[in-house]
Amino acid sequence: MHSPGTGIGQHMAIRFGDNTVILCCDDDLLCQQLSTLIGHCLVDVLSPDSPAPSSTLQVASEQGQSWLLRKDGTQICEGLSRADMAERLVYEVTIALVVGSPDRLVFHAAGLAKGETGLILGGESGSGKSTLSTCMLARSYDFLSDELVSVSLTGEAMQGFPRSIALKRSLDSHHWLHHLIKRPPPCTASGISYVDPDSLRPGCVRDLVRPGILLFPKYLANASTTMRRLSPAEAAYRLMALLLNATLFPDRGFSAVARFARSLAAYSLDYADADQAAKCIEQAIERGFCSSSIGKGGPDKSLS
Amino acid sequence: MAVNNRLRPVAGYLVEILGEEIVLFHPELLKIAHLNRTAALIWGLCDGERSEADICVLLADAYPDSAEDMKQDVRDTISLFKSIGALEEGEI
Repeated sequence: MHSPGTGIGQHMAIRFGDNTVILCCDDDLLCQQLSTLIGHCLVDVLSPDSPAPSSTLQVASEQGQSWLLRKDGTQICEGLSRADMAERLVYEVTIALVVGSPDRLVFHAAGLAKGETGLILGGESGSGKSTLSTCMLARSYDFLSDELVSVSLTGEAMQGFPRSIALKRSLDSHHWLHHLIKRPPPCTASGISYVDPDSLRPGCVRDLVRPGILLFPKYLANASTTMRRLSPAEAAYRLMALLLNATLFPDRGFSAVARFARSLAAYSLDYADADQAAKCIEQAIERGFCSSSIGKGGPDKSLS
Repeated sequence: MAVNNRLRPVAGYLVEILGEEIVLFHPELLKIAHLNRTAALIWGLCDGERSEADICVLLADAYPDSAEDMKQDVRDTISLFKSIGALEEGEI
């Protein structure tokens, strides 16, 4: 699993946790673009005991000028350029993998690992998950995902969707990106550079680790780097907003999220300088995340 | 909204007690609240038997050094509970 570049051709199988989506595409250039974006998520073939794919996406050319997309036989868009189709496919694959994961909690989060200990960086778009992930990779952390992390209902295992890291120009990450990789990939029309984690550190993509630490980073211009211990209730409250497959659970995942929040240490992290924030995370992990200098407990007077 | 009306939780809210704090969540209304220790204490007293005035008296007696602050906390917290539709009132 996660061997980059496999599956090019007519059919690709993309896996996340126990769920698989099949993508049919006979345009070589589009397949190459997809390989750049989701090469680490491809699996060679579906083994006979694998569950049936939750969805099938099919790309068709419109006279070689534009492309249309069918999902499970129903056309969902048309007239897209190759580059736009590649990004749309990544989006559709992601959605299909999320809604097809009823046995796991899927969070909008980045996932990293140090040894067998997993870090979950939960946050909405713009919180700096991808930028921080890139900094942590440069510090010898392993990579699970910059966007989607799934956690088993027992809370004992986490997996990531290891697509290429999506670095937005708006977070000013590009000035130091050049120091980390020799030839940074160009930006798309939407201002995103997709960086293969292997180009930052070969062999850094991991499949399965045990969740150990939960972080909620928040990028704030001009903020000083501040890390604060969160109570389990604060962590559960924040996690609920990031749970992507809540509709698959009778209680929208509330009890499982609360159980998970009880099981690991959680911290908020406000920062402006991603490299400094990465140092702060690393130092905190080295201290076992128990140092009084990190702070403990939340404000007592708030009802959020 | 009389302060002497009894306060009770609205049906459908799920409650997770995490240490001294609570998270309330309504899976249909998609309302969620994180209750710190003080708010969790006040929530526990909204049991359908007590009014806002009863709760103020109880907590003012329990914390005489901060009785006035506590009364304000009770008013603010109950107001927040109501704003998310987590509490309803019934006349005594």
